[in-house]
Amino acid sequence: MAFCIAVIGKDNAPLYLTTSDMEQELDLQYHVNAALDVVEEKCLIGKGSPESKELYLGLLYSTENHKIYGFVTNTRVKFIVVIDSSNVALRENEVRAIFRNLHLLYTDAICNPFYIPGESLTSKKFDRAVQKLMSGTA
Amino acid sequence: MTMDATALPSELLVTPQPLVGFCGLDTARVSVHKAVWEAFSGSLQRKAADRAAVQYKLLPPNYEFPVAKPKRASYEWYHPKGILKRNWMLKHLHVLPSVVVLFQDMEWNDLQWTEKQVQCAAIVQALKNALQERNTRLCLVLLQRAAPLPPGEDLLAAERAASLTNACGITSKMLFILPHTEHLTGYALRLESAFLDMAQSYYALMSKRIRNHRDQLTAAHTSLKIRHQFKLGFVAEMRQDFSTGQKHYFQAYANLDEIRINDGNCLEIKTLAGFLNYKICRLMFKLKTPRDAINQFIIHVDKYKSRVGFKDLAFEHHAWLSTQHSVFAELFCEAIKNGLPALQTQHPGIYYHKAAEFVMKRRDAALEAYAAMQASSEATPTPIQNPLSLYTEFFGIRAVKTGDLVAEQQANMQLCDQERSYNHSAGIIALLSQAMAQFKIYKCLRFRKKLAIDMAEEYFKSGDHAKALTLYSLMLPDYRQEKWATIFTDVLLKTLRCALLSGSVADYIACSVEALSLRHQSEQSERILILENLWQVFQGVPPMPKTQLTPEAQTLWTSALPNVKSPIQIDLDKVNDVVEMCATFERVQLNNDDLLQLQLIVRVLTDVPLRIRSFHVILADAGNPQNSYKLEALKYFCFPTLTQLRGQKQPDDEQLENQPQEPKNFEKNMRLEPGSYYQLFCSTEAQQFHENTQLRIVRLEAHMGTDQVAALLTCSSNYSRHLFRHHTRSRDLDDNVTINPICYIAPTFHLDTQTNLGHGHDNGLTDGKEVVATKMLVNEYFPVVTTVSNPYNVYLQNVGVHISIPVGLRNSVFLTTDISPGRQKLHSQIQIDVGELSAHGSNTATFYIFSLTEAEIKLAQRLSYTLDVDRGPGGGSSNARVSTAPNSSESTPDHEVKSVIPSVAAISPVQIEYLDETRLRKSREDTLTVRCYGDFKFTARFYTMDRKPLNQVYRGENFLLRANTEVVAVDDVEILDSFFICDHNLVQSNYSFKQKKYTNKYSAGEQLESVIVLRTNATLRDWTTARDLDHRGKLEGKTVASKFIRPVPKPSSEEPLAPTPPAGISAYMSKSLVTKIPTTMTIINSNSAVSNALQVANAGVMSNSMQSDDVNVAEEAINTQEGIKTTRLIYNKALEAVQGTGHCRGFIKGIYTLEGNPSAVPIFGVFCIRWRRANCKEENESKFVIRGLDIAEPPLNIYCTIEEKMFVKMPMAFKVVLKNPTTHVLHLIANLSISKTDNFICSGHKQLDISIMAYEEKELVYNLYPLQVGWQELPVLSLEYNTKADPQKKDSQNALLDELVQRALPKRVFVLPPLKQQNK
Repeated sequence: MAFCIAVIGKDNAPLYLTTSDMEQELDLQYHVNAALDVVEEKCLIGKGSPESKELYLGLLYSTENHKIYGFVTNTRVKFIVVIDSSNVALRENEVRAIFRNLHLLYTDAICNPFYIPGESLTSKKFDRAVQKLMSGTA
Repeated sequence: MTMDATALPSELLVTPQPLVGFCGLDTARVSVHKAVWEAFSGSLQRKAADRAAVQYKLLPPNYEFPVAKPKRASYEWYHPKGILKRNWMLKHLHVLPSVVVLFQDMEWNDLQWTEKQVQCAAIVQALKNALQERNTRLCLVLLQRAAPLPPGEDLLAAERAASLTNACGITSKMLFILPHTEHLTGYALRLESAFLDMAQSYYALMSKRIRNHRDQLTAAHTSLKIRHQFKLGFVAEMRQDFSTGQKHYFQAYANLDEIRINDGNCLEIKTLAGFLNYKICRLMFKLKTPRDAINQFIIHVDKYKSRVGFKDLAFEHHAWLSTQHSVFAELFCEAIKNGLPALQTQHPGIYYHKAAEFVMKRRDAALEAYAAMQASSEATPTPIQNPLSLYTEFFGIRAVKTGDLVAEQQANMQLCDQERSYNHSAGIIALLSQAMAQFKIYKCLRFRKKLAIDMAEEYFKSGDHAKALTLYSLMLPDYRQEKWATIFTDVLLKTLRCALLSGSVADYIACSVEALSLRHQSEQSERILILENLWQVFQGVPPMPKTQLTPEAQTLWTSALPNVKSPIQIDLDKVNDVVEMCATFERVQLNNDDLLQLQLIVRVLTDVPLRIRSFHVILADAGNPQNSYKLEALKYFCFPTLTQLRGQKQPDDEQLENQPQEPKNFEKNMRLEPGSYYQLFCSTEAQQFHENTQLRIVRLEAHMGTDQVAALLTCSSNYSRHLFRHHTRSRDLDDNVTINPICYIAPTFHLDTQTNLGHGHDNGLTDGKEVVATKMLVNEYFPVVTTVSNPYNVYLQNVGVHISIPVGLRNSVFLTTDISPGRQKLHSQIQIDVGELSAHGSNTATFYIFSLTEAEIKLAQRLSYTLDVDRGPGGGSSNARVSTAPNSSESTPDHEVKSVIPSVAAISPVQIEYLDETRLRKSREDTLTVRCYGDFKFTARFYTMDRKPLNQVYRGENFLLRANTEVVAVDDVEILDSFFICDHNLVQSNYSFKQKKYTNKYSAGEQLESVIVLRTNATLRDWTTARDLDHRGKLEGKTVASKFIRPVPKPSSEEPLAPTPPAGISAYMSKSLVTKIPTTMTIINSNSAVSNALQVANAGVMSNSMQSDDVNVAEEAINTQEGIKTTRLIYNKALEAVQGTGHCRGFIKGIYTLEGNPSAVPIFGVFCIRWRRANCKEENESKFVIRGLDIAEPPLNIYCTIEEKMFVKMPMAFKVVLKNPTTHVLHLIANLSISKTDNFICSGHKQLDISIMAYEEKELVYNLYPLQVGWQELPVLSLEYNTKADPQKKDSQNALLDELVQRALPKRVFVLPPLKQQNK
């Protein structure tokens, strides 16, 4: 369902990144990296009213093959999901659901006392859950 | 005309404008014509914003207008070969004018009017012929020199105009006059609007004709319909009717859908669709509907994206798509320039980027097609035909017969061949750079980076490795910062490859070193390969086996390697994760003669061993960072784990046993194993650094490589601890190592001082004996002995001790080095030169403090010396003694010399100055605190002779001074003597004849009293002061003042000044005093051969002020008479001073010296106490100034003489002397009244009228015969003025007189019993 799911730390270094297609990984990473531009811009605009801050950023940008959605937590950790453009069936609500689940998974993962904040996520459980989320069987 | 089928023709891209042709203008030769032409077409005109869009064309005299095609009667069976002809737009834009304007030089009053008219008519006729079948308008403009007259007035003009229009066959509306006077532009503008009107009507007519054509068409004529719609749209645009134009274009675009697309017509349809889409989008942007434009474009691209056409010509399709995108991006840009706001997610850059991507696809397709072509047709490709031959007069149609497969194949092959000559990379790079510019504007910096990477890749593909390398290495730091490992690895490896191919040694080495990091996701084997290649480069050999390197690269490397600027710097602060280095000073503070030691801890972070040639640490002064020092690490320890390193840090016994005792020597190119910790040591002597500086570790350097080629890994010393980091004791270096980034080089001060205070240390060497300290007293010369010793093996010169009194105490505390009898020079600062001190030598310096106040005295003591810097290396270090350099020997009064242990003071009290190259002076400031205690408490009071407090002194009358002294000194004192030195205007006599004896030791609290009788013979006004003396002396022509002022002796002179200088003064003084005021020569103190007179000499006069009569303040004011001098001379010992004046009494120069604050109260004298400490020899004097009272002139002096002893029945004389001190005659009545008659028998005048002449005396003598023993009241003498004789005197004045009498005359007398002898 999704091509790529990425968790990016507040200093814009990736904490976790997985793709469904290993061959495209580099290209997708470039895309995800570039999407941060839009995330930053959107966060900048949203700065004015922190109360009503919507974590879900919506569609960041789309290319011919991909649609890239963004989500930012209160701690400025960004989630990026890359989805196939041709998949018209996927609705925005479903994307939101993916992010919501991802957020839960992320909070669970960093609740681990052995996790060092700011380091990359290596939890196997998290990885498994994200893979499921990506394939749409979550 | 471009031959590229996919590019849009330029005529499509311009905004269509009505064409107006000018003929009859000879711009080359006639300046007026040129001016006219420029008025219309020139840049001048273009500036006007409101100017109508018109295109002018200068038609040559024999311009050939295109011939109109014959009209077709019916279109029913007409099938055009294509949709749009290539030349149609061009024709209407540039060739066929809508209006032809003929310019003629004709004046109304021209003499040859008729000829010109004929000529003009002929030209008009010729034009008309040429424009047959066209609706082109023709008009005539007459260029005239003069401004036209208002219409109707110029009859000639009207007439000739009519004839001209007639002759030419045009309407009068078509005739214009253009006066080429000053307002040419204005006229031109008006003419232009007229031309535009004509053009509008021309194009309106034209569109009507086209519409007529269209209406004749049937449904089958799709292509013709499209053509006509296009034409209508184009003409509407010409007419500036954009919405109509858009409508027509859109209709045409919709009509395109009706045509079924096949491989054959695909190109034409796409071409036309592209044209129409372009026009639609352009007009939509123009009509401010950018959303529609973008949507239209997206729909357009979606619709035709899949219409590839011939498989072989897929590249053509991609080229078309690329063009669509880039053209749309340009339109978008144009719209933005006209004020359209764009978004981060919707801006031209995206389209440029897509265009670039399509060019990439185009290249891929072309390569594919070419490969296919090569494979399929072994036959040699047909010889290249004229490329033009492939194109027809219609857009998007090839000159190939449709359906002819062979011909098509041929054409396609030819196209493929052509495609190969196209420079795809240049196109891609150009588009990418445009996209980058746009992305930068819209704050998509990461996207831009990605584009830069794409661009670099494109450069790389095109073989421009150097440019690719530049771009890559620019992007490298950005991605390094982002910490996207995958992307960074990708970029790094690409950079490495570029560096390899372009033979850039520096980049190759830098990238290789960075690629060794574990952060890059590659296998260990790859890292080993990288390392091997790196070493190959270090050894001057191109990397990689020769077979894997192209010959070009090989030559590049062989030429680049010898020219490498070795070493190549690599900043480990940026390229981290290869080697971790940190350095620390062993100690935070060092003495100048210590060994500076540094530790360097190195760890290889990657999994391959590294060989490091050498390690260096760069140090710098914090004060002047340009002074830097480079230290090489020479020894090392190796620890496999951090815990062992840590263990070494805190040596306990067990650890010590396990450890290697001696660090190993560092060898060149030592192999550092991954994972191990290496502790390296640098050391140097601290001497080579400047003293009193902070050393900072600036940089750590590791050399890697060989002599020819080497990498220098540098790393700044800013080792910062990460906040909120995960604590892993076994992993993080900063948990286990203390880092001292700064080391203070404390200066060595080669002198130690010990200060002994007080008496009893005359030799200055206490030899460790316990001595009770004495406390300093006021008015005492308190000795201070400073022992300066040099514990070092250094020869010191110019050792000096400089003592100074704080500014606030300069008027009351003095210093001297000499207390030889006589007088002392007192200073507020002294410099004692100790001279030279050899190694381990010591010397003492003695000085005395003299204070006039009880206070805590903080003396600034400054030790200084010079020494030669250029000393042998063993000079300081051979001495094993650890210096206590910043030893502030603050001496307290209780005699303890405290040596403060050197604190971690950042700033040392030691000052260092460089005298020259080889000598430096060091000095140190200390404070010496001495508490001064009081000696005596002194009070004095005046009384009358009958012991009543005295408020006013009368001239010529005796009064008493009662001086009370209380000893307050903490130590026992012996009082040697006390005396009162009175002003020479006063006469002093002892009250009692008992000799005062001071034999006891006095301790605190004991009191003494002395009473002195004083008398003055002059009122205050008449006092003779030293000033009067000066004045008188000056009158006599003597420079008295100069004699009073002794020359200021040289302050540096150590010799005590001989007490002789006053000789001259004394001689003068005695002489002058004797001669001028001989009455003052009175010897008062019978016990002393010395007369208690005080001559206070010039400078350094003891001028004092005493608060009223009971204050013991003795303040030594500074004589400001001659300006402030650092050296003051004080006649301190009063007695000796008196001797110095030749036993003359002197003047208390209170008034004289306190000129700044002259007091009305006179000073009667100085009370002086000579004392010494118990068991001491030094005598001190305490002096208290007695401030006097006002001296009044009494109206009468009454002296009463009565015998000292009276006996019963012994007659005695009661003598009252009345002295008239005034210049008047006094008339008095004296009355003697005996109140008790049984006391005395009295004889004498009971009442007497007395007249006393001026300054005369009158004696009243009474004989008294006492009758009774004991206290008897004397008869009362009363005086009153004789008002009869002297009517001026009033009764009121009698009261004063009475008071005087009451004071002066005794009231009672004690009568003794008769003497035995008498009785007998």
